Amino acid sequence: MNAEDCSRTGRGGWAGWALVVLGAIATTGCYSPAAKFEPNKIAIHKSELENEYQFSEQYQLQPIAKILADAFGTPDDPKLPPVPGIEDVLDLEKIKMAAGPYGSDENGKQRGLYRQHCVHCHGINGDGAGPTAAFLDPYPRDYRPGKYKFKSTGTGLPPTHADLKRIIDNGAAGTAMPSFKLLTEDEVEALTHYVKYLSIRGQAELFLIEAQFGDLYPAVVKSPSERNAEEQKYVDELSPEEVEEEKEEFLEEVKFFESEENIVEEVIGPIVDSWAEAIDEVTIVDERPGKVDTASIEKGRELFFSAKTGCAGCHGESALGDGQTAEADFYDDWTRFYYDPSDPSTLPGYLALGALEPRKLRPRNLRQGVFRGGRRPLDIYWRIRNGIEGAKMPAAPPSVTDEEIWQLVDFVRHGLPYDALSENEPHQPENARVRN
Amino acid sequence: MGRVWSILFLTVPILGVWTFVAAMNDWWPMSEGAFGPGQWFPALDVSNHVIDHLFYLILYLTGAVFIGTGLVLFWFLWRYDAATNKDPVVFSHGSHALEVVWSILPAVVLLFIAIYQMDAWANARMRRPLTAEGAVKPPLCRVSGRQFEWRIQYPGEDGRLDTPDDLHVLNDLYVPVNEEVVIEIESLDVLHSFFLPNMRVKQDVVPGMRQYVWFHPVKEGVSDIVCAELCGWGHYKMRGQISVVNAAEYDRWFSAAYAAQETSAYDPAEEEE
Repeated sequence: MNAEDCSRTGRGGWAGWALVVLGAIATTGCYSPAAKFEPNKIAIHKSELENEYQFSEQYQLQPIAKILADAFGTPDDPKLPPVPGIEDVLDLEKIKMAAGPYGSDENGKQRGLYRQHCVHCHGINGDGAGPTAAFLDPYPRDYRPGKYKFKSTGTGLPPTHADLKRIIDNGAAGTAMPSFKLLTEDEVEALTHYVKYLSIRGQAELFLIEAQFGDLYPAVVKSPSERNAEEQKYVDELSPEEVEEEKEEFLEEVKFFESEENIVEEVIGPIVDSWAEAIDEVTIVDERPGKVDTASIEKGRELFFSAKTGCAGCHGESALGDGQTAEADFYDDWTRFYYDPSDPSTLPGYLALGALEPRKLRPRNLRQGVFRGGRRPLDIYWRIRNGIEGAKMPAAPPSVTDEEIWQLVDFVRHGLPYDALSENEPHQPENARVRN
Repeated sequence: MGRVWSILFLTVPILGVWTFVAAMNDWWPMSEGAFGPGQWFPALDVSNHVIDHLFYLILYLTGAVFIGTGLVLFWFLWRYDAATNKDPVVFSHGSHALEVVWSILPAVVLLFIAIYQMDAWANARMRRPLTAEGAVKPPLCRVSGRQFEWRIQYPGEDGRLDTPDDLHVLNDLYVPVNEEVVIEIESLDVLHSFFLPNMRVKQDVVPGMRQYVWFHPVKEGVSDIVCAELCGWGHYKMRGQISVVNAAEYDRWFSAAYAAQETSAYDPAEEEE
């Protein structure tokens, strides 16, 4: 072979390949399906187990999905239900800033903040089960039940706008929730509104699944092929007239929710109202009386170990969070929704639907100076006074006075030995020669 | 194709040089002068030019080698193109002198760089600033990297870290201007890298190691803290902010931040938010 042959190899071959590669790039990778809200499968499964039937696709699941889509729209195109006064709780402009795919719209307005910053952990539905959730401890918050731990309102009440914003701003120390302090004011507002939006949507969905549609027994409206054995047995025991009668009742119930008015009245209205009223339910805290001194810390210590408060029961004799929590049922509400420690047999079914592996709660180790809901005296006062929603921390009984709570706050903040998270030895030999 | 290939190789040094010239002169349509016109570095906020100087020195050295090799490669392709070259093929057995030159020359250059930068390295990594009494200067604060934020802890009145009077802030570092700032850095989880582009400081943060960085800011202003080590999916958003302020401003900020941390009253009616 001489040099002339070499120069003629592969003539034209590379051009063909280049075309193939370009064509492949052009046709793939640019398309992804639009995001959509998934139904709350775990709640549906739970309802089915409790009532021993299976939801009817046509008369229950589809109406629920339609109601939610009509009222709240899709993740790319959110809407607000026509509830009077909803604009005091949710700002649609702001929600649109956070919704949709990440980028900006034709006017250059920011879009998709939620998918940029939150969706990894909290998921498209706000179910706290995004792709990274399983690797985190504690698990990310599931917004859908509308329960939040770190807030200024009492147990059973939604948080205020400022509460959610504070956590987004400062993160939750000791968890995987980072601080978003450097986002602009507008962006944090948008994310706060979007969290509330997902929460209210999730609560409406839960209410429909558990109460409204969950109370219906769909055996009679299903065709014989759709029924399971239980349902078939139930129908067989009825006379044909009874079947007809029950069918009519059932369809009437379903029909009731075809009107937007009824949905607003019965389902979404009350939820939105509770969020709107949260600001009036804040536990107002007056400037603390007196100063932190050894006497108040000492009183706090006594209270901490007293039967009146029972703090040491869980937080332990040394406040390391190693108290008597051996009881089997030490799980938070989000886990207990699908996991019953006394009957773990149903768990695999839930895990298959994407529920996260249950993890036991741990009472806080108070000696590390890490306070998830904030380290200000005010934050700790709220935790003790109101308890922590969804977790095992109870609200202080009314017999504990405000002054006593402040003493407990002093003890927790100043009366305990401080264990830094990482006490590592400095091991770089310092070269202390004078700098030149 | 013939000599077309050699032209293609010629474009490599030309485009390479053009890239740098355009960056230095801010001719990019996209950047819109990220660091201001004619700035292709972040602004220099410290008095010390040595890092930039070393950067340019190495850029010029490697640039010369890059252009030289690019041109030689082009020349060989052009000169000995099979279609036009009528000279017989020559098999050479290598030249001892040439081998010696291209082994010794880079070795000398590398050795020169190593010795030349020694002092800069020592000042940045070993000679920690001293107080007036000659003791090592204690850190102004501790910055702990964590997925995906910078947790910053200032000692309180007692001047010691990890006591109950510490000030804790997030992503928001304040340092006084015109003095040596020493910062203790550590990681709470994985590898991070504490990078202050405007201070020309970058140090990997290794879990379990306690390290110190120092710099001497001379310009007031706000610049970025970024993480320069892939630390997980949220690495891109692990940004903080460093504010260089005068001493009076610093004290004001410190007291205000500490007061906010000690807040013990709340009435939503008084909130302006």
